[in-house]
Amino acid sequence: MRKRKNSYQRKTAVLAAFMAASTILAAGCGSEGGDSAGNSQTADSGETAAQEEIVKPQSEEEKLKHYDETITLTYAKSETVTDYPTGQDAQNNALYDMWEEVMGIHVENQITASSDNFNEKMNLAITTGDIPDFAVVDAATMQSLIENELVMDMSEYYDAWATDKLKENLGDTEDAIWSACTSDGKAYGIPVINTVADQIWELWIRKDWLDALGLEEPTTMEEFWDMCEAFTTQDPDGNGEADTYALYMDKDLLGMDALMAAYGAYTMDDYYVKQEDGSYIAGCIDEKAAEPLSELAHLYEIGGIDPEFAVKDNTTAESLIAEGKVGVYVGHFFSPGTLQSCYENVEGSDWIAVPIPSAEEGGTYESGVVANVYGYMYCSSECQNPEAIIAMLNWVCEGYADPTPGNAFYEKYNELAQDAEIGAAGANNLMPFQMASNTNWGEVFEEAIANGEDHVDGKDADYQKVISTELDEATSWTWNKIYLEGYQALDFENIRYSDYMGAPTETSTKKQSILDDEKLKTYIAMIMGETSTDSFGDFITKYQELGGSEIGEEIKAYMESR
Amino acid sequence: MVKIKSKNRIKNRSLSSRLLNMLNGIVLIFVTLLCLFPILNILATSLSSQAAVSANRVTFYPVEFTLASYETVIHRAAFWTASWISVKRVILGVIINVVITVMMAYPLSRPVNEFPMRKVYVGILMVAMVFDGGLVPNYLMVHSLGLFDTIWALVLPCSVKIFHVILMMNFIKQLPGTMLEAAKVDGASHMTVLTRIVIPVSKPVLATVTLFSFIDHWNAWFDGKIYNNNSANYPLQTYLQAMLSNVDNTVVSDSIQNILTNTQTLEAAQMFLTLLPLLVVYPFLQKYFVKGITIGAVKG
Amino acid sequence: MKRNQGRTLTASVRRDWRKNWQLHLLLWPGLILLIIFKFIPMGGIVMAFKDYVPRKGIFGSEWVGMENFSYMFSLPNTWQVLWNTLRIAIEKIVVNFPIPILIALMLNEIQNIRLKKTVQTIIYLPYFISWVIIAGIVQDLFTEEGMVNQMIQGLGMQPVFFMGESGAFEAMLVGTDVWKNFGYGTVVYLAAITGVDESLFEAAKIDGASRIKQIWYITLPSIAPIVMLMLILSLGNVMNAGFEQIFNLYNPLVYDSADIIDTFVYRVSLVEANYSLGTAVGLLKSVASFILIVSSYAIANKYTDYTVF
Repeated sequence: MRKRKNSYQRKTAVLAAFMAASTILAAGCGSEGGDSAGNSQTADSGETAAQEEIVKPQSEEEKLKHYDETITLTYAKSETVTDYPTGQDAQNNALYDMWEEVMGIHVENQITASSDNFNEKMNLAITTGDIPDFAVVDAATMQSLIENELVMDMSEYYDAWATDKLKENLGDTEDAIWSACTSDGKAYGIPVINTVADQIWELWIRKDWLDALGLEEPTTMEEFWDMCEAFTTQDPDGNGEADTYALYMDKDLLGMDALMAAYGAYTMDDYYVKQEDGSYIAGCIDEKAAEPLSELAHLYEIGGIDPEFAVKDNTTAESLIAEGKVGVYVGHFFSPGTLQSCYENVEGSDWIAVPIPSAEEGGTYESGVVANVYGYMYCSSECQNPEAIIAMLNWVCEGYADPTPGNAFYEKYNELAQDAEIGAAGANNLMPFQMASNTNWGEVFEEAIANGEDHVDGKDADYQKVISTELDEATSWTWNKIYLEGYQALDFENIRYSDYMGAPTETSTKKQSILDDEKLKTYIAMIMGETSTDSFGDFITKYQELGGSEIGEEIKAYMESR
Repeated sequence: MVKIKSKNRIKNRSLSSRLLNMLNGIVLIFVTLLCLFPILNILATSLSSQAAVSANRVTFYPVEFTLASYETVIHRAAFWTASWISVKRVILGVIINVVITVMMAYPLSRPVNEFPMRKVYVGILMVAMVFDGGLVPNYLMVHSLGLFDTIWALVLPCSVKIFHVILMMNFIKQLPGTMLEAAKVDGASHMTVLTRIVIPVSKPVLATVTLFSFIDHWNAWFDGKIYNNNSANYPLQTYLQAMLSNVDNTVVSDSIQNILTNTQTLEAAQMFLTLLPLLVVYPFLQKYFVKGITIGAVKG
Repeated sequence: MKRNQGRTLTASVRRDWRKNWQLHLLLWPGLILLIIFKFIPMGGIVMAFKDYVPRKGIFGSEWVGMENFSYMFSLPNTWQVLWNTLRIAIEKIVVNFPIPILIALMLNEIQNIRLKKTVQTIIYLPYFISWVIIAGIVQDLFTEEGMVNQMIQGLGMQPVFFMGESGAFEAMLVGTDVWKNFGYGTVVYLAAITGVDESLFEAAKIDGASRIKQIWYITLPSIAPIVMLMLILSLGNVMNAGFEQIFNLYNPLVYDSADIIDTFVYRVSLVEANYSLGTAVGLLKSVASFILIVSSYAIANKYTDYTVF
């Protein structure tokens, strides 16, 4: 009898297996859906609660909150460090411990992914609805989080909890920089600002080549192209062979957008320009880009650019720098890290930082910046301590980004940063997240050195490297170049922001990657001479047809509605 | 008879035939070197100085010999964590895989008249072999079971390898029928037949399945990439894949240090160390590989 | 009627269970794993007909009928991707077909047992190396200054732009695929050749047939069924152009010619977060594969008596 029953159950099980396939899935995913729906409800009630009961701090001091009973917040960490201090990792390290000590907040990495995998991981997490309490994400992911109602409206918390200094740095929620994380007037995220210094480009030029050919630093674009031609044809390394390239270039056209900007064309991805008639176009279809492209095509033709650049990622392309074959690197103030290999390998080589000149006579070069943020910090609608998110931002702002000496974060951070191993990995990189303000550290360091000071608060780890006499010669060269030359060539004043900083529009979400590919492909083809720059108009037409014009219209509609 | 004749064959060889033979040998040796060369190349790269590698001076042998990259790897905790995860995965994965294979292959090797339901099961397996829910549904499943960041996410979803089942089933099918029949007549149960008779004579096919399963688990990287939220739980190949796919380190000032530490020689050293277990195990298990595919592919 | 049928079915199942419960029991653990990790996720295919919004879950999301499919076919990429998949897969099959036969025949002629064994052992070593590592090596060897180009230049030719020029990249894909996989086929053919009846050769010998003739008239016809079988079975792979290989090797410059269904699905689903579109494309591939595999097995069964199970 029992056996019979068993067999019957088995049979039912077999048949049920296939039916269950759908029903179990329905249950599994349905309940997820239910969960989230529930979440958004709690979020809603959370909102009303916020309006009525939100605990408001009484003083500025209180906003730098310390939880007496440690709270745990889950987090998605975008990892940039490969070599951690001995015995430490992305989760267990001195800076996470410091977080706990200073704020009473235990940050637990629910997701840890390298920066290039990060968006993919967040996208996957969104499919399940199971996201960490907070994280710093890009505009597209922020948009997706808002659409899926997974995140909390932070407006109230920001108003109540942000310190004056944080508000001074982040501005008002109606500012352009907030547009990517606001929807219907509610701020679903907080922009985590970065220093604009990371987005200003400058020219790094082989000083020894300039000297060898008796050239001056270029002050106009015309001089720049002449110099490039000389670097290509006049054997600057004096080895009797035509084996030098004027300009570094890789498959992502690193730095080339910055050269276009000299001609008033802001061609970087996600950069939009408002036209005189009130319409918006992507910066990369600006006709002004044709001229610098044809200059580059000419340079390519005469052999001034590595003929294989289009398949080399930065690591591969940089080996030409190491071999001493490249004269100009369009980079950032921190690029000496990349150039150090050349300084080490090639005797007598030296690099100088030169601001990018303007193509217009007597004009000023304006750096193009989409938005100077690390990303946008969201707070999951399931998070129990939304105010903690703001408190953390307060601490990082007041203790690190725009520091007020004397607070606990500041003291502890600067103490840890002096540890050699932590310093090597970068104390700032070990923190769960960071923020930065527009300080010209180059000037600060120069002044400190002039005054013979031993420490520079806020960037002491780097300052120690600049003034160190113990580092090996090449590393010391790098740190000096970064702070005493790279920084000095930066112009913080003349910045031209994108006319649109909001989240990707509907069409953009679907088609942006196709459009970006199209731009990259066309630019590369033009530089390599496969397509003439005269046909730039065809590119504009194709780009607009592929979705560019739709995006422009969506942006226009959004901007008018604001 | 045969032996003598073949000796004659050698004797009778004309000059042209001997030349042909030499050419044949030379071509085959060339092909063999071609197969070996890339492995020699990464070994040589890992033992050379970065300067020599950047200048493309390294081919088969180290240039400016140095152990520097291996010294760096020794201190790179992430590499060893990943290795340990791979080892755990291989041990668990292979055991589960082999056990399941044996359990499924035996019933399916029974003829239909003895086991009528066989058809149904074969049908189920056929569907499972050809269809797949796709990336996102699989991801949602593993997530809803709470397997993320555990070793089970790497072991369980691929625990039933239908190809292995077919391999083993075909092997059992071609065992002399009398052997199993005799046991049956003696009234032995299926379990007894399986454990006492089938398993002991199936050593060659078990070795093959073990080898295949080992290779599958050691080489898998995609599941590690998808089913781990924490990069600290990556198995070795996923770790390598992430490393080789070139994180763009030059775009932010925060990673100045990384630019200074990641080099081609270091990558090569880690690739070679990843290959090493394979190179060690391979000579011992390769003969079973030959047996395995001949059972699986030739006999039907 | 119905009840009766049900009864007999139940009865026969019961009888079968009583007799073979051990066999069923052996099968179930594996089957349960398959249900969990294969069959339930297959239900997720309905995503292809929905506008999947994670918050709503698969079943809560809205039905959109064939919209994902019509959008899919409106994308110029889709056709390109399908064409790339078929083209690359067929190129691989065609090139991969004769080489193992040739090598097996050549190996069979080697008299020196040690040399034969060594060659055999080494040529299928690449089969066991992961694409992650092979891609790592290939990317170094095939650059402009890389070793392959140094050799090409050594022969007095122009260097080839392997990683960026569509034709060269494709050739490299096929070449590295052959490099990795030809050892596998060689083993199969070699086993078949060893199985050829020795007396046939003896007879030919007496007739004074040369070795080339022996190969042509005896060896090849004897292994022809297996050659046919291998070829037919490889047709089942026409939709698989090699995800692991291409994913680890390609770059935007060759997207036009090397983007295949699997890489496309990956990018659409995980990078662009368009889950429904990704599933739709994946489903299209599954259905095509299913038809191909089933028909190739049917052909194999008909002409060579091969059965999978």
